[in-house]
Amino acid sequence: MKDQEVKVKLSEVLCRVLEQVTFAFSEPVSDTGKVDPAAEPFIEVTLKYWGASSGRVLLILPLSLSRQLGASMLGLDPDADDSADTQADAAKEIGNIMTGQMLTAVYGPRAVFNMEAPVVRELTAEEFFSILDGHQYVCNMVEGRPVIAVFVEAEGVHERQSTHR
Amino acid sequence: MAYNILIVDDSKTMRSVLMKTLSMSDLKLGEVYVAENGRDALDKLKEHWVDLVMTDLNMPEMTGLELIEKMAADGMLKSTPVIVISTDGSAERIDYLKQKGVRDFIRKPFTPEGIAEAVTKVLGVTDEGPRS
Repeated sequence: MKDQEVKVKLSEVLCRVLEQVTFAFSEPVSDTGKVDPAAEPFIEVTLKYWGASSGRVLLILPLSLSRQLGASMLGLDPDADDSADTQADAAKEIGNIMTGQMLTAVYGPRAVFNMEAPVVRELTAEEFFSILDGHQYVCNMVEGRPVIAVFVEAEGVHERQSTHR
Repeated sequence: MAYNILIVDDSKTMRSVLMKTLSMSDLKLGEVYVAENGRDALDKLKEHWVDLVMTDLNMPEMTGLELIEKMAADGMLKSTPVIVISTDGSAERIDYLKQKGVRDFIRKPFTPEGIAEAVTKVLGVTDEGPRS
């Protein structure tokens, strides 16, 4: 699978997971030029995987959007539970589901993977741009706010779908 | 007959979603217990009678797979039905889990209907109650 095909898969998976898990409709955008990571706090969810291949998937989104998506998952008012723990937990679960779906989409249904528990941290604007620089990523907009998925394969690992079916 | 169910997932959000999904179904629920990982689940299973375990796989401390293996090796717990609910969708892993006695596998994201159908099937519930 070529890099462009991986990006298409990543975008499809991100759209589908956001819709099915959080009931949020998202629209893919071609670049992140209008995203200002200094305007509000952003968080990054990291999921490392290994097995048929290895690498990590990152999910980056504004903290406020994570809170909104988490509330949608639970059918709650977004202000009902404002704890940082709850906000991060929803983002972790979205990242977890997205990574599982992404690995199947890229490597095929027979490839076996293990995943580490997701890790969440807040990003600075500098970190935001350095992560996107040089990696494959897609950006979908949810109500004008970005949700970015980054796919980072470990170096030297290029076995994809055709070798694992 | 009301059924006691144990939900095992390290995500507080997912535990809440599953509890809500079960409460909205037509199932006659008794107690719904929750555990954050396999070790916590084993403690709950020692404390309470549970008719069905619904577990995630990727969890810290003790994974769902380790929980399933420990249940299979325990004379008291090996007959307790287990449904796995996970992001992991590998056909090989699903085959392995079924060899270990897992009764059904649901991939995240799931639908409420999918959860209700799997629980109903595994518990053998009919409109008249449990099958004998």
